[in-house]
Amino acid sequence: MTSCYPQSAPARSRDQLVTLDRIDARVRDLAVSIGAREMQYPALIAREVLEKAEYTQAFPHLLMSASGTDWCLSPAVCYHTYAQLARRVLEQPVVITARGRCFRAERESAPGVRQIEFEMREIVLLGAPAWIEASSEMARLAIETVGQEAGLGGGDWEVAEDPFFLPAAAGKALMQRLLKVKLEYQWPGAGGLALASINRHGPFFGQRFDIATPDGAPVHTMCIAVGLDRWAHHALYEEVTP
Amino acid sequence: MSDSIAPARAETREAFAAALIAFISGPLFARHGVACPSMDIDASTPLFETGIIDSLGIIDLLAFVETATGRPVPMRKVDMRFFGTVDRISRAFWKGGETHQP
Repeated sequence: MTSCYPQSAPARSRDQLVTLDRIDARVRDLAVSIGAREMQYPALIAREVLEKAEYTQAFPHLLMSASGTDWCLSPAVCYHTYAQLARRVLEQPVVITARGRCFRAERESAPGVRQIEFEMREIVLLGAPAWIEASSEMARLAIETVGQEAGLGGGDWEVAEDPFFLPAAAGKALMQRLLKVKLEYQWPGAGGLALASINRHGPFFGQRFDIATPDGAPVHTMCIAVGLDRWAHHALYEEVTP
Repeated sequence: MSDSIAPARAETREAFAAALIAFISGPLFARHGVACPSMDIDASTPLFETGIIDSLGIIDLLAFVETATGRPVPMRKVDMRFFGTVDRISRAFWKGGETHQP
């Protein structure tokens, strides 16, 4: 539903909301089936958390903040998780899932494609490197399964990089591509639009937030991010499940 | 990349590999002070797992390869299969004799 005034995200009808909730429920169920704990996080996040995560350096052009405060609008869900688990030793691997509103100061926006405000379901995994690696393949299968069910199957997994603030972070983008740390599920039906991503961070967030495995090593992390607005905008449930 | 570390065109793949090793061991270490400057590098040394090349070094490494070969590196070839070691870089990017074709 569109308005004659600018909107940060499209207003949703009940039918559209049902579709979005249905996709979200399916991803959440998959997360819970692998042992995820569900969390709900606020829309605001402390600037110092994003500074610790180096978001303010890497993506200053995307960051939105509450004027006159030290609060920012969350650009992603997973930063809350790292802050929540900071300075802890994880006796076992941890899986957290949460749905949240995210905000990025995109220069151009189009409903269901690129929005300033959007909803994202994330599954965040924290543990030893081998467990993270093994979980990566599971994550791919899970996303493909949800895609098939929503009429968004047949997507391609492509190596991608985050939109770092260039040129200072050009090397980071190249390293992401080289090490294949970011994979996107791109759907050809929408011109290769990325519907989901799998992001392996190595020990970066474990080091930055002092989260360790029992042997004292920093945990490795991975997040699976599902852009719910994009899925809801393109989903074709009625064609696959009449 | 500064002129002082710009490579000369190598006549053989072995010479290209040797120049690349010299570049990584010398100017790249000096410029970025990467984690393990005392490590001996040979053609099969993993460049990324060891931290020899980081997000700063990759820019100069690409610039070296492009200057040495006279061709841009396409994004599809920014891949560990082609960049994991000096040997892989040499095999992927040095093209013997191309510049001498009529």
